[in-house]
Amino acid sequence: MNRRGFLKSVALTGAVIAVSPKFMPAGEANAKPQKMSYEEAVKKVLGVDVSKLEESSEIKLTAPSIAENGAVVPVKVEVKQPIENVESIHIFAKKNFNPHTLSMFLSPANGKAYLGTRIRLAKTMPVVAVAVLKDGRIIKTEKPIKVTIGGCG
Amino acid sequence: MNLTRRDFLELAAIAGISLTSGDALAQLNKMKPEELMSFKPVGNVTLLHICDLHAHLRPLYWREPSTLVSHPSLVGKPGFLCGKAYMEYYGIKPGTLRAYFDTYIDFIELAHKYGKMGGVAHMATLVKQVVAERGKDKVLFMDSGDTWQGTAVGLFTKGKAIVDAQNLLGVDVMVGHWEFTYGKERVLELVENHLNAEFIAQNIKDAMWEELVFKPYTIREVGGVKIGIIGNAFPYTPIANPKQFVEGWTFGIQPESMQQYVDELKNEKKVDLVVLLSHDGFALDQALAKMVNGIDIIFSGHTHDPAPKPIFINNTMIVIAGSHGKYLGRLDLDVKNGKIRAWNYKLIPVASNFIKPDPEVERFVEDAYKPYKDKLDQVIGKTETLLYKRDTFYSTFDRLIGEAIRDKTDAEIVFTPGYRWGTTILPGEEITVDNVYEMTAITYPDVYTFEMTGEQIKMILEDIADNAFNANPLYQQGGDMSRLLGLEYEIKLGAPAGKRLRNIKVNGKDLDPKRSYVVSAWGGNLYRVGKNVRPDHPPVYDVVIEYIKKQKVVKVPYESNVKVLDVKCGCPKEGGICDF
Amino acid sequence: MPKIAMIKVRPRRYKKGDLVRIDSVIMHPMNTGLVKNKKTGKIIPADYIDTVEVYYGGEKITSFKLTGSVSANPFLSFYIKADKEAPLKMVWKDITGDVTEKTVKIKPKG
Repeated sequence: MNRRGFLKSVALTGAVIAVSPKFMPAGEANAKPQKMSYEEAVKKVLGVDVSKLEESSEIKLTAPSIAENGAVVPVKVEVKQPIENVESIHIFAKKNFNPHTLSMFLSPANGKAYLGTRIRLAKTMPVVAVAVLKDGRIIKTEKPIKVTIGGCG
Repeated sequence: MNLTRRDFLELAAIAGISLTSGDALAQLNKMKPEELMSFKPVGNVTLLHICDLHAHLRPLYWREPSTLVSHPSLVGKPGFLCGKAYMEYYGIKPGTLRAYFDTYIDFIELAHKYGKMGGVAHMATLVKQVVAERGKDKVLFMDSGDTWQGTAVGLFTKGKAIVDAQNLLGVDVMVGHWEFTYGKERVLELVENHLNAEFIAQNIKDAMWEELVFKPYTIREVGGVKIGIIGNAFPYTPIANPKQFVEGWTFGIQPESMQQYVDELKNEKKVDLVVLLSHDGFALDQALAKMVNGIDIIFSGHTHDPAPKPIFINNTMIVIAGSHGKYLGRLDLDVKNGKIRAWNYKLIPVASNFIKPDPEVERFVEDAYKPYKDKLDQVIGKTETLLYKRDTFYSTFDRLIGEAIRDKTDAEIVFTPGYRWGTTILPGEEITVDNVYEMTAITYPDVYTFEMTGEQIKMILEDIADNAFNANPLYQQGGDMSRLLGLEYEIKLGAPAGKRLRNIKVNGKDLDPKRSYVVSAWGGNLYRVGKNVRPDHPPVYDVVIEYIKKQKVVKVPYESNVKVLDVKCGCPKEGGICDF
Repeated sequence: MPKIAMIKVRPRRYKKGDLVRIDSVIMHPMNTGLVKNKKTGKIIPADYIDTVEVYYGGEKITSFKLTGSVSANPFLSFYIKADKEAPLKMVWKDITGDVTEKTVKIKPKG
């Protein structure tokens, strides 16, 4: 059993299925799932090379350092830019089977560029938050999140 | 008790007695508690603090760690200080009461000299003294949690007896961790119907809507000073302890919301002082003080450190008050216009032999024990070895528990959890049923026996090691390392995650990654990994009681089964230096 | 079959033009299609939400694309500018064709 499978089996019952890294890419329910690298996922979702993603303090990612449960990891993204300049927010989990987790497409009616959600992480990995701006820049930030079976009190 | 002149002078110094002639011991025996805790009061505010009582209503022996190591970049600094390095750091002399309370050095000899530590009746005397001296309106009593769990009386009353003790002590505000192992319904029941103190937590939310379960903070006026107190429960409760006890709640450190509450207290509520009452651990709170701005004082807990002096990170003062009821922290403050102008801090040792117990609380403790006294005071054996708990890797009491489990289950390897709480028994002393519960009183005591492959064992040990030895305290959540019987290993603490352990041997032979091993474990969720090979899951305390009864006289080795490669002693100075 | 969905507007009271946060949850297993049922050994068929749309006063203001990496019972939280009294409707669609709708009223006071 590999580490991932192992962690999966240790996770408490409720989490067993959820921790699985595998999922079908959107809209391809009948296709054979393909493992994707982070670079491939960025290319597919954003249409650009990862080198075009600019590390920035204008995007803030709030997530726990250690996940309580790999199946439910709360993540919040805030883009410190006028709402008129924010087109979309994307979350990638670098080492998931398919790193693309979700995308949000905003409009000025949102008032504030913010996304809160909960994601699945197959194992310890960095989570990347990306914002596509209307001025043409693509900004990102990332944070490593540890998925552990837990220790002692 | 055989006190030398030097001992007396030390005690006299703590007590503030000036002695010109006469029998030192007689003087000492006449000493009043107010003298033991001599303290130069400052200003208009007194904040009392305890942490990690672990349900010890009665005095006990508690030996501090003989090994307390982590990542080499963290050792030798507050949070990872023990033994000689501790004494050097804080300027404590060997053989003194302070050395006895704060370190493992000369423990047996000093235990015979100074006697047991803690006990809520003795602590109550000290608290009442402070309140009498300062006036109730100037005193606030805070408890950093891990209070309700750790003894038979705590377990049998599902925390109730300890809540009663907190009420008698006059605890005003508390936070929690092991409290939650009684289950969230029980916690709510005790908090709502029995506990006089306020139970606060800014980091416990319901998992679906992320709404607060408890009040995130409370505002108290103490000596005319408006104090905002924010609570942080142990951030990793659902990982360190079984999730089912807090199903539907989520924890975490939550520094972002903490910052919001700090700002809210300062800007909107106009408090003079912002205090964090935490069960984060000493190292994590130091990291947190760098992330959250505007906290004046952190009252820490969880890691059991006795720290006689506060430390300062940026503008935040951090204190932590040991464990097991051994200490009462007293912080006096002179606050004016939102500024601390002067302060004085003392970690008062609850030296039970020198404090007259409060009669009311003493009666309460007797009553609390009454229903269980016959069972708990039953002598089941004697020990030749000093039985202690605290050490990063190995302890004699855990070894004894491991042997008891192996005797029962015939497992090749036994895992025992690296909790920080327990008790200490001196060589030659009797072991009682109560002592066994002091080491094992948990709400999930089942011993499981199952099969695991060598590869799985290696991975789980690496995972636990990373929780204990990660260079970044934010990524540490463990207690001490799990203790293992039947397995030896070498460890490089500074190596990257997943690469710390080497030369793992099972009963003398190299660990075979492909082979299946029979493992017994308690106090965790390890058993979910493998296939159970025994249908019965006896509670660990019964297994240990039965074994000690059979042995009659207990003798276990002092030598650790773990060799640390990159730190050469158990209590290094900063930089991992072991030359003293 | 539509699922159970819930929307909360925070804070409860707000004025016209305020930024308010919308928190939403839909009860959905988010099956990835690759996990085996432990008892039967058969694969649990893929069934997860892939699209979520938000309408405010009939106008689509926000949309989401989800994958199986989003946790079961997806939680989505976002802001809107409460500049008019109008319904806020969310529509969740999963890959099996199930559509769930939920509407709340945005009613600024003052």
